[in-house]
Amino acid sequence: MKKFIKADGWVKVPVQTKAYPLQAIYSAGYVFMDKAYLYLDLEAKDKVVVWLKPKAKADLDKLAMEFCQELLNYAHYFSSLKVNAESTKLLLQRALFSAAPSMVKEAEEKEIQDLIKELEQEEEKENRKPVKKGKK
Amino acid sequence: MSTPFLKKDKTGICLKLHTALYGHDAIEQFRGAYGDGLTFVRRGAYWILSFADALEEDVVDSLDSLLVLSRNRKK
Repeated sequence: MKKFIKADGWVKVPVQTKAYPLQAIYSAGYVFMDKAYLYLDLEAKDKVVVWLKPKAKADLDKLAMEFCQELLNYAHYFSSLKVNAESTKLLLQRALFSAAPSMVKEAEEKEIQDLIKELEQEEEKENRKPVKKGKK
Repeated sequence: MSTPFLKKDKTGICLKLHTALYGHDAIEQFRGAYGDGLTFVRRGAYWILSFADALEEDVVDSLDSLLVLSRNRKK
């Protein structure tokens, strides 16, 4: 088992931000606020250190390991959120459209209007182009 | 000072906060909420917070509020 650096009741957990995004560190820290004090510092460009001190008597190594687990949990959550963003969006759209069918018509009308606008703009652009004089 | 990241000088107990981690807005909000007895100095990427007449436990206690403010800040 990995040994963590300890000092005066605090335990230091180094975290690579390439592996665990900052958002995961904040979220894991937020969960741990009930049982520990947390202090964040930047040790290198991609290395954040999290200092933990239990609010009640607890084993420091165990606390650090639990924090790592929570970190992994949130890193997985945020990466899944990213991967599934498009599917979630589609599902939500479907659910909204089935709840209010008039929204489908509105969306279609808006799409048609946008297409017409786009075509008009292109046509305008074409008309503005200067006519090249042909060689005699 | 028994806390490894705290230092004491003539201005009080000093806490170093990295702006990239805690966020300028969160630190400003904390300054507003804490009131008197707290001085701020900017040193490169860090803000040095000096707690005058505060106990070490109080400074450690304030880490909770700082973490909440940082987590909720707009990115």
